[in-house]
Amino acid sequence: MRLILKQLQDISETEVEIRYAQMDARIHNLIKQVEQSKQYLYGMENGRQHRILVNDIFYAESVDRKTYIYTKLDIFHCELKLYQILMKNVDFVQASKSCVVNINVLENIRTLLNSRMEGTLINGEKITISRTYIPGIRAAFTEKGGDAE
Amino acid sequence: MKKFIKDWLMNFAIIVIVLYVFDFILYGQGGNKVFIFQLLFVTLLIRLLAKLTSKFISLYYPVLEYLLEFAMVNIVVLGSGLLLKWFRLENIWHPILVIAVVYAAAFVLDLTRTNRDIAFINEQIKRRRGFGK
Repeated sequence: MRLILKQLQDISETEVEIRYAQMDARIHNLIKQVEQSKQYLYGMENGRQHRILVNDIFYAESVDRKTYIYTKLDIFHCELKLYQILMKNVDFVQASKSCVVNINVLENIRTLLNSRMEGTLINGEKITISRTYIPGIRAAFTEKGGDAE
Repeated sequence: MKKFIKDWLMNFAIIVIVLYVFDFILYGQGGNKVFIFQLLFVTLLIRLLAKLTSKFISLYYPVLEYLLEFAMVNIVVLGSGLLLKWFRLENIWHPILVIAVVYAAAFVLDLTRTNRDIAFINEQIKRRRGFGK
């Protein structure tokens, strides 16, 4: 896949044109990603409703049946269930039973001494990852154009 | 689904190998065909239960998850073993020993695969960070 970038001073909105010979999973993912770059969710913080760009969500967590959305700096309460957030973006994967993470903000994953797994995000925050969901995270990276073994 | 079938058959293969080795060492004989199909069914039951427990039960310490899984495997194997007359109660340590060996082998395989997956994920993250620079 060739990447062509053009800077045009006279356009007001960024344009993405995808030229393809055949529609396949990679192209489909690309289209989804472009579409998702404009998607928003609504979250509450200190009694005020905020519009949050889906791509800005680092992870979402369910605590006592309530869903919280974490961005780089803020935490919002959200009415959506975890699985509904999971469906909003192809980059969201299940990290544990109660957590969904955006794979674009994952810095690394490591196994701790007590055989728990910990994911570090680009803002330094750490989340617990369950071993059950590791194959799913791997699959998300493979679908996004990683090398399949 | 493909992964589930692969895991199921892999567990089945480990069980058959361990059982045949044990059978040969203890009694100097191999198992029969009916027994193999019974084993295939019990392995399927274990995989289905393991999938269900991992979906609905998430414990803070993975060690507890492994213990729970091990207890579940023991209950299924000993229960179906008694029903299908695989062993007598006085020899109950035989199946427990077999379960422990099979579980240990499956655990090591699972751990190896998880570590390989983590290495792959970290490699992909590194590559993508490289593109971003």
